[in-house]
Amino acid sequence: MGIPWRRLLVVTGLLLLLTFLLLQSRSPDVGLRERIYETLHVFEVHDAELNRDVLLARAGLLPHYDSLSEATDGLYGALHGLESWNETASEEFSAAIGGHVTDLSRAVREKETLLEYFKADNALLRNSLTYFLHTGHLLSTQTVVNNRAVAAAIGTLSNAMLRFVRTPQRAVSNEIRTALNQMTGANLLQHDLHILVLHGHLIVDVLPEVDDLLRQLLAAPTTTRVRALRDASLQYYGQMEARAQTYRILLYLVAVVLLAYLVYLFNRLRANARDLGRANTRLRREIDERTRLEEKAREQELQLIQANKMTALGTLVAGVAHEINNPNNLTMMNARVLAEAWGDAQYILENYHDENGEFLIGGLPYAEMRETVPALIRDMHVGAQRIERIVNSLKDFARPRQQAVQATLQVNEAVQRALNLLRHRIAKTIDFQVELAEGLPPLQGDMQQIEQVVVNLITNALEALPEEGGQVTVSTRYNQDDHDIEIDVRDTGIGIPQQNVERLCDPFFTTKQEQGGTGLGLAITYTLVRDHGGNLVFESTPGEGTRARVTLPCPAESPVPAPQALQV
Amino acid sequence: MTVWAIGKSVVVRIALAVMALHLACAGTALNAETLLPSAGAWDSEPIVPIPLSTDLDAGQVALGKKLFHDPRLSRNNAFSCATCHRLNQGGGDGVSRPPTLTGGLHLRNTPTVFNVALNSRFHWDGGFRTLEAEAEAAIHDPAIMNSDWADVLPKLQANADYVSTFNTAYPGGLTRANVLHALASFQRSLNTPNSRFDQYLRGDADALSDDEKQGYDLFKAFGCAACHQGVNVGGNMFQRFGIFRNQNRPHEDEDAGRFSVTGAERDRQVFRVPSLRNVAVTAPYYHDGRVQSLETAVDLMATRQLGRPLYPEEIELIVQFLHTLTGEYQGQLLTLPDEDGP
Repeated sequence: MGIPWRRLLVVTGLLLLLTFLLLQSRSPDVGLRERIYETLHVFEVHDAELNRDVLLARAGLLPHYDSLSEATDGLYGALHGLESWNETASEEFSAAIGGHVTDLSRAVREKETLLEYFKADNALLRNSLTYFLHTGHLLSTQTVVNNRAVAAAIGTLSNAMLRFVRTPQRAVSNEIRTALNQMTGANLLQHDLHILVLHGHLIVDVLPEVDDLLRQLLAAPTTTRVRALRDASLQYYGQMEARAQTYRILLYLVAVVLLAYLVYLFNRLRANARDLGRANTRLRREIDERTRLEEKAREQELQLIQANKMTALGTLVAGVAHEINNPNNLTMMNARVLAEAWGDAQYILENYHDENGEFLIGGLPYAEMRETVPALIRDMHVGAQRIERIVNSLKDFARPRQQAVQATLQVNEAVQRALNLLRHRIAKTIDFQVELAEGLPPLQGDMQQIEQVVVNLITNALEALPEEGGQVTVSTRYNQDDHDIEIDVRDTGIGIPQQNVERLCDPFFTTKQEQGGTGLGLAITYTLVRDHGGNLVFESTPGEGTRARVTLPCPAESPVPAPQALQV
Repeated sequence: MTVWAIGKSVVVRIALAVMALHLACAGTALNAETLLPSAGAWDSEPIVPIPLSTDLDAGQVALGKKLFHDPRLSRNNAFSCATCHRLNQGGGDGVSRPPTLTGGLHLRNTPTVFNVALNSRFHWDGGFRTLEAEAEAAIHDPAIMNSDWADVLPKLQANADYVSTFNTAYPGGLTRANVLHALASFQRSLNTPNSRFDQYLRGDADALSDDEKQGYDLFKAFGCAACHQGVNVGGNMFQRFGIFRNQNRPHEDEDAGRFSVTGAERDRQVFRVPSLRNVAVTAPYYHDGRVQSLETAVDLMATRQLGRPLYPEEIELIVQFLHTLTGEYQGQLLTLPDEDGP
């Protein structure tokens, strides 16, 4: 149990590692990155608008400042977006980007302050310029009549102012200031002249300031800050992406390891399964073998029992036969003597009958007995003969086996001899087939006994056939598997009921009691086959026929012929 | 390890390339659309007409209107926004400086709430960039509402009607942010379009009389339009109050103006240029409401800011022009309460 747990732990651990790596290998929030870049871009666009409109305003080409306010709102909108993301994003993000956002925020506020100053000053400047040019022209035309000197001064002043407005140089501004102071010093009879001087001073003071503000606005560090922020963000996301990539590679490697481990486990499993299958097959084969052996043992046991039964019977029968034979011989001899005696006595009895008429003999009228007694004596003789035959059979059955001649014989030859013996009994109406295999190995045994076996079997087969027709086949063949010779005798006769098949070879078992069967033919046959180390088996289907198969083992040293069947 | 290093650097390079490509694409896509035109169809004119409609959620605006008139936004339920910003009085209160909760007077005049969303900054000193920030400051200001959210929100939440209305108008329901947003939404709805002058700008030459047109020409020629420009005729920049001072009279103004917000010396006595929209119904004038009549205000502006005294006829013409800047709220021309009006 320990080993599967360890494997499970390994797989679980690898899976957990995979999950961790999967989480770590995610690309950084692409959406946020896109939003940041877009916001920075929007910021730059608004910044560019702002710079453009500031220049337009300075040039007097911007009729109102609303567009500047809109651009500023745009900058602040973008900035607030960045600030809110910075607040909600991860600490890593804030560390990488936060400082730049703060810088940008400061730059925007500073730029806005400059912008407000610029707007205020630019308004003043434009107003004063308008007034100065308008009133200067008015005064110069008006004063031409009254005071040439003032007119000339105003002309000089206007000229200087024009130059100053075109290029605001310090020398020119000093020149203007001198001219303005001279005018202040002069008796300012005209109120307009006084105001002209005021506006002139204002222009000289404010214009450089406005231009300075303009320069500061255009040089404001917003662009630099945006670039820095973008670079920082690019670097941050580059690092994040690189880290994610590293984790991705690790992910891949761990996945490969996991896969390899699983493949290894799978192979182990398959090998185990194969071993198991092999063991299973071996086990099954062993079981089959054991079953077969058990069956064989049981069969041998049955045969042993049968053999014992036979031996016991044989011993019994031999004793009984001897005991019967003596009285039977007596009966037979006596019967012959009695027959002779009756023949001799008949003349006398005939004469006496002729002379004395009817008389009783043995309680019956002689006329009747004259015919009956010879029959009785004949019956006695026949009965005794029958007893003799049975006893002889019993003696055959119980004959000591050592009498069998051990010689090399050809089965086919024994079959041929049996067929010769039986030739006259085989009716023409019967389809008699003989199929003898050629090249059968020789057997060790008693030719006459084998011959008798075949005769008995063929006789049985013939007796099983119906009145007319039918078929009997005798065949021999070599069985390579068991290295023995099979002699088959098949008939198409009445067949044998299954319950009788097993008892066929029991002594005194007969179904032909009426025909004078003794029930010893097959018992003797069986005994003969057993004496040769063989076996006799019947297979029968009632109504279709029976097959008797004798198997006789070949000697171990006899050559194995090529399997070949030839019909003779 | 070398393989690793190479892999990494390649990846970084690819990532950079992808980003650069993306930027290039985004650049071309955005440039054409985003760069605003520097000025619209009203190129030649410093004043732009107010859009005739706003794109606001009616439910949120209605909710904001209710809040705007609700004294629960102040401690002890003393004031609502509308206490000072009266919609029937030009969006202001008609006094120079309104009284504070503590019995004194506010430092500055109540600016009109009409067209407030068209300003780029809020308050005379421009202390707020957004209406939401302004409203939140007003709630906390001890001189105005003298309250806080811990006081305001429970009071509003106690009102089942508010809770249900907020739930309908906002996914988040009644929250601080949504109260502010509703208030701002209502204020954004307070535009007064379709003034006679706007009609004139939109091409109706007969919308103005000859005198009024002359007044507009003077308004531009004298430099008023240098500051009072844009859609709100002001409200989008700052200017020092008193450019051309009377040397003989010391400046009487104690209000430091935008300096109080920025602390920059340059911002001393600097104020937001107020909108001149509806100027005829939003007296008194200036940050401290020191001037009651429009004629005086114009005269003073010309002298102090433009350094140019005007003849009474010129003032009269400019004032006539200024009257054409009065617009409509909900289809009704704004009027003063003593005139017949809402």
